[in-house]
Amino acid sequence: MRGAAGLSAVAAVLGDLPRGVFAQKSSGITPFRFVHLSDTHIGYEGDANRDVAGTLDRSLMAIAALNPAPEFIVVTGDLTQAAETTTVRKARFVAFRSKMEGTGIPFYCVPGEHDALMDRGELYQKAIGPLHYRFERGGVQFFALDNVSRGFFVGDEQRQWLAQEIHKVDPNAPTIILAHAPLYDLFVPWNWYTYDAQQVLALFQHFRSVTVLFGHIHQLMSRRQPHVIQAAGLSTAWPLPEPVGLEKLEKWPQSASDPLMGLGLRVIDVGASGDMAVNTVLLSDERREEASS
Amino acid sequence: MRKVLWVLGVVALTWAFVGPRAHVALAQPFQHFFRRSPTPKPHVPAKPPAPSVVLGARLYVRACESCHGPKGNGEGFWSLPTGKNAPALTGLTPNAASWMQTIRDGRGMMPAWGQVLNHTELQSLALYLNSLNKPLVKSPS
Repeated sequence: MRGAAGLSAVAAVLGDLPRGVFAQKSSGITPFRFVHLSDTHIGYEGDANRDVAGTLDRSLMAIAALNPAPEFIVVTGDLTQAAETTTVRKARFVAFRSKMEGTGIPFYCVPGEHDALMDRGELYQKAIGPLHYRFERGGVQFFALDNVSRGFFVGDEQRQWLAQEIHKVDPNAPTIILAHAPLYDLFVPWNWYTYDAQQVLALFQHFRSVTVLFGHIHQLMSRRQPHVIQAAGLSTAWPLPEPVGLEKLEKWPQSASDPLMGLGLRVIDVGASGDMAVNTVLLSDERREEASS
Repeated sequence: MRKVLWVLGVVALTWAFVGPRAHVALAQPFQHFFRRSPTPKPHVPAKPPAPSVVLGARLYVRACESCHGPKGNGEGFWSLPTGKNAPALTGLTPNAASWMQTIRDGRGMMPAWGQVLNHTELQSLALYLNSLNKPLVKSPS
């Protein structure tokens, strides 16, 4: 891992998140950098990734090499691979947590269906924290939502909480929503959607600009609406195919020649005007740079 | 007198052709040539929709099909996080009250759809589930 090589600028520099989306306003924003990690699936054993802990380690090393260092990391769900027993699930949460804490960088998580669907997020709350919450960083509002623990929706109760929280924030401030599943119908047959996404986004309709960062689909995809941009992060575990037909969602076996293919993370720099620059770090690029050094 | 009538006639004709309502006077007799058939307005039901199998089928595609499959036999397009298939919804003993409760409150990894569906929608899903479990009419052969 070589210094700035961490930002191997495979440069989705706004490949799908246009620059200036936040540029309308915003006074009082302190520029900062954060990292978007997703779908680490700690505990998975199988052909799709023969060493999920190893690929997370590689991602964390890439983050440690970033200059400037990120202020925090967001992880958009599926931190762990689901398991039948609570003991195994608990051990996986502990393993994930200890790896993340080892970086010394604060991190914020939202649950994925692997973390929370089997017990409606009960264990997740004990091991990681609340299922939904709000925080503010550098003048940017973050809403962390749970759209998986009771099914692929946000639900009445959480929407009521959201409606109350929204009244407390400045609608002109840049706003980022963190969620596991996309807040639009990306591909319903594979549960790549949130049933009540329209109702959720309607609560933000008076906001000047909203960005949704999600995971779940293990590949880069995005959607642009008038005041909402949604962008997926990369998985550190395995890539998934893009939906092309009514077939069952299946993982590919990990490539022998390029085992890190399609894995990575995103580095997001928020500027003083509220604009965001997004760089994609591909682990396979990191590996090539290691080999050539 | 004849002169006066002649002048009045000319004035009336001129008024008819260039006056402010000339387009009406001239076009009206020929309006049926240009009249379009009236645009049908959508029928808006006055009452809220009643539970129906049709609504249930539509909701099934959006809420259930990914896991339970298009035929309801548990062969969906998405495996549960544990890697297993969702249970089959066919071959069940009809029990509308129990189905309604399961759909509304969830069970195990089955979502609690009562968080996003109203009573009519829940009933419609139960009706659709019932239709999946009706014996098929045997062909005469």
